[in-house]
Amino acid sequence: MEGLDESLVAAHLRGDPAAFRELVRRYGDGVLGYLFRMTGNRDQAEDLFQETFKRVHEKARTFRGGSFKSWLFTIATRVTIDTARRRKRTATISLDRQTDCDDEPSLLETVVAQDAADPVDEVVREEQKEQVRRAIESLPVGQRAALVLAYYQHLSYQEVAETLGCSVGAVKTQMSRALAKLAQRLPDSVDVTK
Amino acid sequence: MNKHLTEQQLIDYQFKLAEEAGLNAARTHLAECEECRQRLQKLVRKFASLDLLRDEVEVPEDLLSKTVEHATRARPSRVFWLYRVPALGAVAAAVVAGVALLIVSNSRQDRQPMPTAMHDMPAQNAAPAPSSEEGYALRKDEAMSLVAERLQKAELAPESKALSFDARQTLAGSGAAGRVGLAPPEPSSAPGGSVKAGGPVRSVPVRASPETPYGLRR
Repeated sequence: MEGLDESLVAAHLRGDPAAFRELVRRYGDGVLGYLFRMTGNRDQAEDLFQETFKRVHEKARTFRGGSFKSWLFTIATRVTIDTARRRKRTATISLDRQTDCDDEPSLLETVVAQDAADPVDEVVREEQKEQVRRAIESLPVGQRAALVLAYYQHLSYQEVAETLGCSVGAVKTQMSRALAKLAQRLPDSVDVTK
Repeated sequence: MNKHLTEQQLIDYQFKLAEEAGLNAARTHLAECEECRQRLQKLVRKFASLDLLRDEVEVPEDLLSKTVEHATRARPSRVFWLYRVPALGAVAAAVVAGVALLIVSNSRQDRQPMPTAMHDMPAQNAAPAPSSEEGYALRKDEAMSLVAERLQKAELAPESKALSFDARQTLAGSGAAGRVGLAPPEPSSAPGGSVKAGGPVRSVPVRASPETPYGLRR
């Protein structure tokens, strides 16, 4: 797997455009999912997604082998943090999802429009998802990144440490604190089988 | 029975965040404590809600294309351009080669050696700089024609057209050397000579160097 990644990076450096496209295709879903969970906003995640792969394109020469996935998520994390800081400095535009969605249809209208089997259950489920999303968004960015990478992206603690540039012990500490906070904020009981 | 496990200990146990010793201790306690087992189950259910966001996120094809285009268009390195556009590299190489040739050519023109006679001429015999390019262009036969012409003008005898070495020396001594640059074809042992041109024999100084072959110079 890593050998193939390295081959694709090498081909990209030789100027093969198909190699870069293949890298985006292989890791696109994971990166977009990560960015979506980090930001909680699909449009913002797509912007960061493009920025992430732009940096991958520019900095491919700095890839020194090893886990391409870790290297890629390092860039994605850096892009997320940089953008968050920039937005914090120029906080003239609200990033509040509720404010952004003023003109959007209500959750119930959306669920009905989707022709759900049980609209009421679906509404409850969507509400719970929103609650989980908010709980994750409320975490400090370091804890959030550690949680999302380990829990959703299935990176080992070692890979998370490489990605975030810290020790495994520090990653476990971040995870432990993040989960302790989530234990207070997550809904009590959820049926996730549906 | 030991003390009950804290929520943090349960979390660390569930997500394998504790050290091995801590995990073993928690495992041992849970095996004996029903209450802690129930608390752990409650936590597991709570964290199960995280899976609500585990929906697979797929990158739509248009976003993928847009991303690739955006990335490749953004800031291609110069090296990358040369890889991608070989013609550009070839043109650049041709331009560099052309400039190099031009420089070398100019340099050679500047350093073009003086005619041999000029180089070998002793300093005291060096003729003044030419007033025109005539001297440069003269060849031996042209020089001889010029000498003959001047001899005619000087009303020398027709047979003197077959110039003797002495006559040439005379010409050289009378200043023609400055224009024509004739020098003796063979070494002369004496600094002077004589002219037999139908007139009185005169001694004239020979200014050409003995080492100089017939010379074309300015």
